[in-house]
Order: sequence, then C-alpha cells, then structure tokens
Amino acid sequence: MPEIAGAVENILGRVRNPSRYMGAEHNAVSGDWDPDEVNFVLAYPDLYEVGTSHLGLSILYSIINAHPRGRAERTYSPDLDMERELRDAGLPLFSLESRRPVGDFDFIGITLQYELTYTNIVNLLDLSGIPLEASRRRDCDPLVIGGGPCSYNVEPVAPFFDLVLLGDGEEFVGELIDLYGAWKGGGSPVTRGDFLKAAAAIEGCYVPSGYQPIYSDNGDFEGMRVQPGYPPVVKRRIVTDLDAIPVPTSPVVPYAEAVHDRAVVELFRGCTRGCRFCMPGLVYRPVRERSPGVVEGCAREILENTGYEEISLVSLSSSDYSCIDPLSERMARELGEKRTSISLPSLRVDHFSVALAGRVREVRNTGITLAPEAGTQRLRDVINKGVTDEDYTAALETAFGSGCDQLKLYFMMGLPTETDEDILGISRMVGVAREIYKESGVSRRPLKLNLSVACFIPKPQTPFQWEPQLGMEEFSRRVSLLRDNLPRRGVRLSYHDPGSSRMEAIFARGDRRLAPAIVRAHAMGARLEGWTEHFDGSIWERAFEDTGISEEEYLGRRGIDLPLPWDHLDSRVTKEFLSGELARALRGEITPDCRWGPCSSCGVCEGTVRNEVFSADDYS
Amino acid sequence: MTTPSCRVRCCVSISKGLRWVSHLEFLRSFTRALRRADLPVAYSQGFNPHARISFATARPVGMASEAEYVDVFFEEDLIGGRVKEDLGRVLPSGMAIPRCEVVDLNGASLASRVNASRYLFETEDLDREHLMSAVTDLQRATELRITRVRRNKPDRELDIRPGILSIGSPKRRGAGLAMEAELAMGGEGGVRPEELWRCLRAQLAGTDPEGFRPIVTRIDIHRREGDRLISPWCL
Repeated sequence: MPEIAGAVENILGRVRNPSRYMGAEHNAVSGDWDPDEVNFVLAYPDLYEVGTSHLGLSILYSIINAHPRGRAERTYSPDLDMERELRDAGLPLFSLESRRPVGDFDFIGITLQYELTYTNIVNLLDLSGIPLEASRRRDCDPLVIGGGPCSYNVEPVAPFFDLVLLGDGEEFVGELIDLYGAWKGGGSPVTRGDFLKAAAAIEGCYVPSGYQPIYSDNGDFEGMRVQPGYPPVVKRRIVTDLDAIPVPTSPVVPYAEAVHDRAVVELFRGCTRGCRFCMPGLVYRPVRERSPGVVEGCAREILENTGYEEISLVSLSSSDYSCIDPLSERMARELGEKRTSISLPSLRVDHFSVALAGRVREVRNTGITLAPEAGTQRLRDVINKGVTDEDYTAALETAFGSGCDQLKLYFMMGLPTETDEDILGISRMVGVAREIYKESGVSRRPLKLNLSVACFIPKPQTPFQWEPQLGMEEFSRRVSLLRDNLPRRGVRLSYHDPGSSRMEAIFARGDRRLAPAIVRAHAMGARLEGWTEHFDGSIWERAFEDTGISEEEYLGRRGIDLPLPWDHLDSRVTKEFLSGELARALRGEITPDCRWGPCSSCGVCEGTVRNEVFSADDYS
Repeated sequence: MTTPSCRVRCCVSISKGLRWVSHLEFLRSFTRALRRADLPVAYSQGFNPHARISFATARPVGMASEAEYVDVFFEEDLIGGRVKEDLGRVLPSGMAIPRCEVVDLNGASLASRVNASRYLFETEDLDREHLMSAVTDLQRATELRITRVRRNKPDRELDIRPGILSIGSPKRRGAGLAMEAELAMGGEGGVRPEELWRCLRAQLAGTDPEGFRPIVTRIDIHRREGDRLISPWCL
C-alpha cells in the first residue's frame, strides 16, 4: 500500500469541509499503530456529520480502545467530492486516526442504521478495495462485521458481511477480540472459515455464510439450510445491567458541526409501550434502566471532558424513565449554573411529558414536537399508540399555556386498516390544536404549525411485518385529501418522499436476492440516499430490472403461515406474540405496557432478562 | 447578564495537523475548551447568550498558525498565567497556548488594530534556484494584477503589489524550502497568502502548476506603521 497520509493532505485542500477527513479531534485516540493488536475500523455508512452523532459507535470505540488487546479507529462515507478525489488519485478509503487504508484492519465494523445506507456500505467496501461478497474474501482481508437495528433482517446485505451482531455489543466485542486474538496469535481456530464457525458460537453472533436460503421453483422463500456447526436460530445478545457496562465519558468532540452537536447519556434501553409499527419497541425489550445516580455522574463527567453546551438524555421514550422528574430537576438546577441545557428527545403526547419538557427547557422559545401518529382513536388503538384525545388536548393546553407558539405534529399514513375517515381525523386534530391555541390567549402571534406525514413502512420483527405497504398513487391521493382539508393558512404540510419510503420497505422485508440489485444501483451511481437531494428512484427501477427483481413481491401482504427470510434471526420476541398482536390490532384491541400492566407474554423475559425499573422514591 | 471585569489576550497555535479546521470550527472548539477549563467567562446579554470572545482575524482553512490571537472577557479578575495553565491543560491536541496576558478591558478590538501578518511557506517539491528567481522577479515588479474571486460578489481585479510588505529569499529546510513573507491584512489592501503564491507560480514557467502546494503557517500578526512594528501585546 502506498504511503497515503501525504497524498490525502493534497486532496484536503480541494474538498468541502475538509476537517471531516482530518481526524485529530479532541478525545480521539492517537494514530499510533500496533500490528499485534486486534485493530478495528468503525465505519458509519453516511457522512461524518451524521456518523459522529451516533451513540452506539461511540460506545464501541471507547470499549475497544480500553481493551488491552484492542484498538479502534473511525471512518465515514466520503462526500461526493471527496470520493471523486480518492478515486482519481487511486487512493483507498482510510481511517481518520492513523490514515491507514481500511483494508489494513482486522475488522471493519459497519453500523446498520437505515436501509437507505445500503449503497453506502457497498461504496465503503468498494473504496477500500475489499471484495464485496464475503465469500470471495481471503484470509488476509478484513472481517466485515455489522450490527444495529437493521441486523434483525440483515438478509438483503448479508452477503457483504462475514459476521453480524444481533443485540447489545458491550460484552460481545470483548469476547470477539479474545477469540480473534487467539487466531491472530497462531492458535486455534486456524482458517478464516474455522474462525467464523467459532465466532458463531458467541451468543448474538450471526455468520451469514452458515445459512443458505432455499427458494421454491416459483421463487417463494422456504427457509434456511443451516450448515453443520451453526445454530438453527441466532439469539439476540442482551446486556441485563446497564450500570455494569462502561459509558463513553470521553467521547470524540468533532470539529465539523454534527447533526446532534451535544453530549449524550442513555437513560434506559428498550421500550414496552408496544406500538405495533415500531421495530425498536420490539427488538430492544425488555426495559433496562440505568440508575439515576449513574446517569447523573456520567453526565457530569461527559460535560467536563467535552465542554458541550447541551446534554441529551436519550432513550426510546425519555419521559417514561422512572426517575425522570427528580433527575431532570436536579440536573437542570446544577447545569443551569454552568449554562448547559438539557434536552429530552422522544416525548410522549401527554401533559406530564410536555410539562416536564417545559421545566427543563424554555419550550416557549423552541416550540414542541408531538407524534400522535394517527388521526383517530380507532386507528391509534390499532397501532397501540396509547394516546387518547384527552392526552392530546392536555399536552397542547400545557404547551400553549406556557407560551409555546410553535408546534410540530408527526403522523403516519398508510397504516393497516386506515380509511379516509382517519385522514380527515388528522385535519381535525390540526383544528383542535389551533382552537386550543386561540383559547389559551397567551400569545398574540399566530400559531406556527408544521405537519409532517410519513409513509408507514411494515418492518420485520413487528406485528405489522405481514402487512402490505400502501402504493405510491394511493399515498399521493391520501396526501391530497389531507391537504384539501387543511386550513389554507397557518399550517405547513410536509411529507416523506414516497419513492424513498418504498425503497426502505423493500429492503426492510427483503431477502438475499436483493444484494445484486444493491451492487447494481451502486454501480449506477446510487450514493448517500438518505439525503433527499441524492435519492434517485429511477436508478433503482433499472437496477431491479437488470437483476430480475419484482418490487411488488416485497411490498405486498405476506402469508402469516409462510416462512420469513428473518425467521432465523431471533429478537427473543416470539412469532406467536407478533401474530397475536396483529390479530388484536385488527380487532382494535390495545395491549397495555407490561411495566405497569400485566405481562403480555412477548417471550423476552427469562432468568435475569426482565424489566429493570427503578422507583422515583428511591432517589432523592 | 454579566459585566466583564477582565480581558485576557491569548495567543493560540494551531498545528499543521489541525490546519483543515475552519475558523468557525476553531471558534466552537476554543469555546468548549474554555468550558472544560471551567473558567469564569463573561457572557453576552440577550436572547441567546454566548461567551464573550473576539478574534484578531479569521484564519483561512488549510493554514497552520503560531499566532491566532483571541481576547476572552471574564467575570472575575484573573491573571494571564492561570488562564494559560487552565486552558493549556484542556486544549485539543494540536493546539497550544504559548502566552496569555491581561489587557485593557476597554481597549479597542484587536481586529480593528492589526493590519499585517507574517507567513511561512514550506514546499518540498521545488528547486531552490527556480523559486529564488521567481521571488526576485516578484520583488522587482511594480504591479501585480490578480483576479480575486469573492463569494456572493462579482470578481474583482486588483493590484496586490502594495500589499506585499516584504518577501524573504527561500531557504533550505529539511528536505524542502521555506520562505517568509509579510502581507497586509484586512480591508481593501489586504493580500491573502494564496494570492501571493499564485503570482509566484505564474513566474515559475515550466513547472507543473498543480505539482506543488506550500503549507502556509501564520507566524505572527501585528500592526505596521511605516517602519514601526507593534506587537499585539502592545495594542
């Protein structure tokens, strides 16, 4: 490999925002390379400003670097201008810390966050000069390992990965380093194949090459042929005690402005609200809270080590944290003196959450975001959203009463059983918001209301995994219906591009036959498709045609008794629970949260795996 | 909100490894370093209070520096040594803080006082005689017209010769060459280091124009009044 550091310097003078490729950020590890260590390059398959905000990779970065035999560096998708420069100069993609070719590392860890980053994954491997298909890699090539939400149906990209982790990585990664270290040190396992088979014995570790899909003559998926020595299903890895795992208290502070330019501390993992469309709400069960004292201590340490002006207390639904009231109040008091603000993402639609947001932050100045998801009580019951009309009006009264004059509402369209009545329900909810605002009389300025509508995407491992996605034409008709029933002024309607939602749906429930289409689309220039300005649906039309894929087959309803391409990837929630939930949904029956209500028998809890919830009384 | 009671002038260096950091990114990272140091920085009043700091000048992306001057206003009386020590401990690697001094709280802003800067150009792939003759040509020239591309404004043609205050002869350093120049800064007559280099390159007929790019380092910043040179510590 050429000495690339100098060549990279030349290029940086010609690209936009070059600090994204520079490395040397505060708290990044130094560029000292030791070939005897187990070297990881953690790759976020999107631009630096998105990737540096990702908590999961930040956790792994600190754990691997703290391991006596491990070392982790980082890389991100290059922007288009940088990619062109690299290709023109014949340079490989490199790591930020030591500016080494990605191909020199033992492991390339790629996070699977979002289906529309799949072409970026191909691009990362292609720019690194590594064979795209795991089956073509030799012993000297890096092992490509994936993880993250899309791993629960990783099949469309499975051929590109040697290994995929299902579940929490904190404990897993150390075991992987130990196993690999033994191989690298010349012990057993001996070959790459032996190593993969040994890795498959680690709980949570999926080795796609050990599983071959079987299709019937007419192309239906019939199941997986499991190679000898591989488990029939791969069970998700779970960390049960969040207080026992390390927290990255010295995260890298990027120079370039990140999309979430703030400190982050995790309140809890998992959510048992049971929204039936929500994959994270199923695959991250049970609820595992971090104790408030640990949260507080970590927050203090992170702020001391970074200097951030804001700290975000994250989780799937932060206002559900058992000690959120006393914790946020204490932190707001302490941090206010240091001019540090607190943010609580993912608030629920109710009085409590909005009042809470108002206490930790001036809602008056920033506005408030609520996600009722559906326009009628009937449909909200179908999706088990657990938000009533009373919750909604109470949330708005609280927000407007404190002087808030900006409201953002999120809805989904195309949910199972949705009718025009539900669409009109959205416009009625907009009307209710405007009415309550007027009555509150707090502000004289007109309410600024942004209404955002997304296309429902049936996700694997959820009760709606068998449901079809709404066609693009019907989606457009429903959007028009909504628009025609909105007030002419004072509401800004925006909606997701149905073309990219369609792509997301195809890959969410896809199988391995889609991999060649991804490679083809990449060859035709598909890149950075999460960015609206870069997404081009016509490329995909041609890519599917060239590779003989019928899109409709992936978008339609699935037979409830038929095998699914992700059946061998076990999130620990049973298929019986999912189909039962679907039946309840269609009957409009809700299922209460098992944190406070009865057990819903989802199948996750066993032994030490169970909801771990504190009590606000224990903390004062 | 808080009335500043003390103003400390800091000289900050930015290594070659960090030269791709933009001015805005530097500002943000310096502010965060002040927060890590837990120094009693004064904040502006108003809707969106921000730390009261001001820079002598903005550094172009791609330039290293031994002399970025930042004035920081504090709520408490501090001594320069403490700021230097506390801040030095928490600066990102690649940044250093060679000197800090308390200056007059109500003095004019540095930005309004400094008017010239010295730069070091380092290049590895040029022949010394070659560059020497280009420098000599440039020193002899009475006029150097260039086109300046400006963002959101029409291109402008101007003579940069008056703004080239001095230019030294290239010297061997390590495997390459090093050359110093002093250029006027700010306002109409200011000259950017890359503009000087563009003129030099134009003199270097026969060499590959893309083949060499110097690394530029700001080595000093000051006020020049004729032959008199006033350092930022005395402004």
